[in-house]
Amino acid sequence: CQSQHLIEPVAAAAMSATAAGGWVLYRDRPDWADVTPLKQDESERTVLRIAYTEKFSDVHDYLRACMRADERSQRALALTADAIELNPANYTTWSYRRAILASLDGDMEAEMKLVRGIILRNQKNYQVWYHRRWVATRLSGADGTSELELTGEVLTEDSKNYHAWEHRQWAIRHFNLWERELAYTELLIGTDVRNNSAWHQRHFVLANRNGEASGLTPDVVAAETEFALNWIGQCPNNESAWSFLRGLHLDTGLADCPRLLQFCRELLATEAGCPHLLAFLADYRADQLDRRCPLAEGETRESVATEALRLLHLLATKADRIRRRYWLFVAGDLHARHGGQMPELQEGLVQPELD
Amino acid sequence: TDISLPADAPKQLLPEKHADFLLQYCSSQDNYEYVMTEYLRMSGLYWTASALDLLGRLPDLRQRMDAAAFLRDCARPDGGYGPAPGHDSHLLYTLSAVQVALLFDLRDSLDAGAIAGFVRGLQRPDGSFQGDRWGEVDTRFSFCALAALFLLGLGDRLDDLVDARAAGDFVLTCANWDGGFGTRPGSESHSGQVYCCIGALSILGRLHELDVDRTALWLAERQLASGGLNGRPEKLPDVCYSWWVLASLAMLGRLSWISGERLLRFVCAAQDPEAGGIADRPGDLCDPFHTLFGLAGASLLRLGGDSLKAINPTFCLPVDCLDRHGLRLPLWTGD
Repeated sequence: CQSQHLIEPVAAAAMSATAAGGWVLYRDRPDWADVTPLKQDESERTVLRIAYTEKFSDVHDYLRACMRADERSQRALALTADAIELNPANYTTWSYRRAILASLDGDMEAEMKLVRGIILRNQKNYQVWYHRRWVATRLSGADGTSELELTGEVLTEDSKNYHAWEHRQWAIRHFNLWERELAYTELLIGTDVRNNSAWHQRHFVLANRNGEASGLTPDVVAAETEFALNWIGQCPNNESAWSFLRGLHLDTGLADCPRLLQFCRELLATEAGCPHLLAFLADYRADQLDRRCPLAEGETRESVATEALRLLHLLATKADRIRRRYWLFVAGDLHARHGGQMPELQEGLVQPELD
Repeated sequence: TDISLPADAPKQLLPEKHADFLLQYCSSQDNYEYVMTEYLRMSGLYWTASALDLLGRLPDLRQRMDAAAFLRDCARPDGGYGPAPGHDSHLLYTLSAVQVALLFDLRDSLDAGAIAGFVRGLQRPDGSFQGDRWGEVDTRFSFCALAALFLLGLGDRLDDLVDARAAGDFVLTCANWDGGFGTRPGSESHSGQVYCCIGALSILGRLHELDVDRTALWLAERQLASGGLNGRPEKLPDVCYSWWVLASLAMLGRLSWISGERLLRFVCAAQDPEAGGIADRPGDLCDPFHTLFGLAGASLLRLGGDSLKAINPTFCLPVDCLDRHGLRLPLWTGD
């Protein structure tokens, strides 16, 4: 590495060529004879000597030398690929690779292929996903469908991979790919109704596909409410579906949708121990009281408050004991604001934790 | 989705064992894992040193290594720190370097001005921070930036050094309807990201701008029947979330909303009673990362007895370490 930004005309493939079948150490490659490898600084500071595998240390010794000289060449590019294969989490290697690609005005199509392979083998690595984004923004003529394909492939193996979902959101925004995402979330929800990422993505699409204007119009909210209630009916003890339902009604308030009360009351007949149902119903009642909504025939503010307190008591003492201090807090707060008959909540406070 | 605690799992905290484990781990530098994790070595040092300090055993580590030299070797010309010599600088390892410097009483060896310059250079117009020169944005980096500046003693000058208002505004745009926070606006709520966002807002004194109860409930709902905490709904519990979730609840003044007793049982079950150390969940391999966060969680709950020092929830450093350096961040009372 005698000069800065050395540009080699010879193809990288020839440089990384291995002998028949086997791996050739860099120190044995004639086309690397001009480089003095830089060993890891093994000072007396470390308690024991560091012993790498030979291939690992050989590759990294040459990488260090190239980085020191800041060589920007095809052979250095190939070297970073070898280093990345050995340790794809090392972001300094990725950083150097990008610098080389930028200098060489590298082949982004080829790079996309390379990164795709590395992603499929290292699906939870921050570096690979960032690099994919970097390459995708430099690929002329890209329309983003390859990003949906790639993330789709990863999500088939691990449907909750956080990086994949993030990358998908980025691609959808960057390439304007909103139209079919709702259907995609429905597919994943159908595969695993407890996939929080899929439910979250659905909210993301609904809220953002109209640009600045919120996508949660009354028609959308009504339709999506039925969508959520359908899945809740099939699997009531599912945090994600209830959370999605709440998200739909956050701006307007639960009590603006009597359908919710009707559904919950029906479900109570068979799911009286479901904590999400009890909590939702309590919140519905609290919303009616907080916003002074008109009540049904035969109901008074006192009777509604009493019902809410009864639900919260049930949560604290039976249905969701692990969070009883939270439920008692909510009950005390509701009683202070709206009255109602307090059940024997002292019982909930002194009862010891069950195993 | 949850695990069951094995009947024969440890039921008490084993502080002596963990100190042995941590000291043994960092002297085994000839194993594959040590080599492969070079890219995060500075953070590894912070996890190990902080855990040992909680256990009152940091002196044992100090005599085995030259932390000052390591910090020097990791400092980069741009003012930031890399994870190990020869690595590029990054906000993650810059924060870890500052934390390490405080633990080893090497704060004077840091060039606060240079670090502040590095941090400032990474802020974007929308208030977010990128991790390094390449531009990846993540609320983790917002936290790293603000925490590093605060720990350097620059907490009362944040507005001069960065656009503090924009920094907080960006974090708030990452809030989701469920009360949680993600990596970037629109990202799924995740316990680790929530900790970073709450931590950032805590440093900025803007926690009151949140719907605190909604966020605290989202956090409380991370607790499963096993007592462990998860990172997102319907995922498995993991000891490290004990810290992200607990510290967040502590910063919000709602620590009582989870069952401390049940959580401690989970953490205890994740210990290795022979070699020491704590794993992500019972039966798995232990590492310094999970050892620190398991102990830190136990300390926050004040259920570690005398064997654990008090810990600060925002910075995950022993309280006496912050006191020693004159660093004070008032804990928000939650009102």
